[in-house]
Amino acid sequence: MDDQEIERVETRLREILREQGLGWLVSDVDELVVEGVYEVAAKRKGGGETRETVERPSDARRGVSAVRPYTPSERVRLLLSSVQLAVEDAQRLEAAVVHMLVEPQPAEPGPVLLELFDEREERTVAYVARDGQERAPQSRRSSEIVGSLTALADNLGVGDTDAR
Amino acid sequence: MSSLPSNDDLLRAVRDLLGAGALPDAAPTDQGYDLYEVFLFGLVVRAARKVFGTSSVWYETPGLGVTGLRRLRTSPGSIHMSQAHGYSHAVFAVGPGRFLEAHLGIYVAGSSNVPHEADIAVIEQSEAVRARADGVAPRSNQLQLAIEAKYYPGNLPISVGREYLGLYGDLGAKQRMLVSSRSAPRVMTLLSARLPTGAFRPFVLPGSGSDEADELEAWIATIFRTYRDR
Repeated sequence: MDDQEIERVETRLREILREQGLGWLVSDVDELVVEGVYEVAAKRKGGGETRETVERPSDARRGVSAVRPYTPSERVRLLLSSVQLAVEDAQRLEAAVVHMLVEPQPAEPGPVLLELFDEREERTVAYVARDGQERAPQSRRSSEIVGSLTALADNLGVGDTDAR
Repeated sequence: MSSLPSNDDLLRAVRDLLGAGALPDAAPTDQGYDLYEVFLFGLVVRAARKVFGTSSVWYETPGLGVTGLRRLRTSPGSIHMSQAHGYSHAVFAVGPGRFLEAHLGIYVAGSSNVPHEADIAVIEQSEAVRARADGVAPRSNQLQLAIEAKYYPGNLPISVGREYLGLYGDLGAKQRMLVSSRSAPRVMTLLSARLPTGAFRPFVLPGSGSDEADELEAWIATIFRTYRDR
């Protein structure tokens, strides 16, 4: 896929994320893009140097640190993988929070209610356990989003969306 | 033969799914990302249950006492304002006459006397009571544990490492650590060179196939055990 289409899709995806309240995620990705790709310039035995991306702290000791800009493919892959991971993390975090903090414990008055209260916006998110039953998170079609993001990455030729 | 969806089809699908409540209500709609801090708070409470016993852990709301309600902040606040908003904290009975309190998102006074938000703060109850009564922030050098929580779906920006070095230097808590959902080579290189072992805990997420969350909980349990046995 050519860079023009990649950049067009990236621009549209950024708009969608901002519209849907995920502008902070776009800002996070932008911060990484501004930092650039961390590399080291390592000298080769026969002369000259090689540029290698730093993946682990030990890589940094192989040469002199350098930075290069993200390519359009790398930028859009970064954005797609960040959205995918945010969606997957949200589901797992919610399930873990309900399990750890809503499940009633011995010597506690029941029922158990967990509220996350935003006093600035006066917004409450609540999870309730009644009769010792955990409130399981509803199926929220997150797998469908992930599927669409993966298909988009494949279409653009920037697949393998593992950001870690 | 059906055609593959176009990029525009896929973008429309993503937009429609995000707009149709495909994420949890407490999902990442702002940078604070409440759920991640609550998850770490849950790890602290679970570690306390393992060390002090299940019946030695309960929740209180100032002015109301023991409660089944866990009402937690999603933005930083003052410990002495908890009663006004009905916020709860966890209480750990360590031994006869010895109690700890675990709070989410309260201001604590750094060594410089500058207030800092402690995403998770575990304080001796006597210091918490004093702070509430006097209408001030608890002193950070009276914290047994202070956790700075950072959720990022992708790599951490270097600013996270730089900012935490500043915070670490001003917090006097007995044990203080940065816990994050991910990492990055720059941040790991910087913090491993500047902080003691265990002060930076990356990749802590539930069910991600890694052991970091369990190891963090075990480390917190060790901190509690050391406090209990001294």
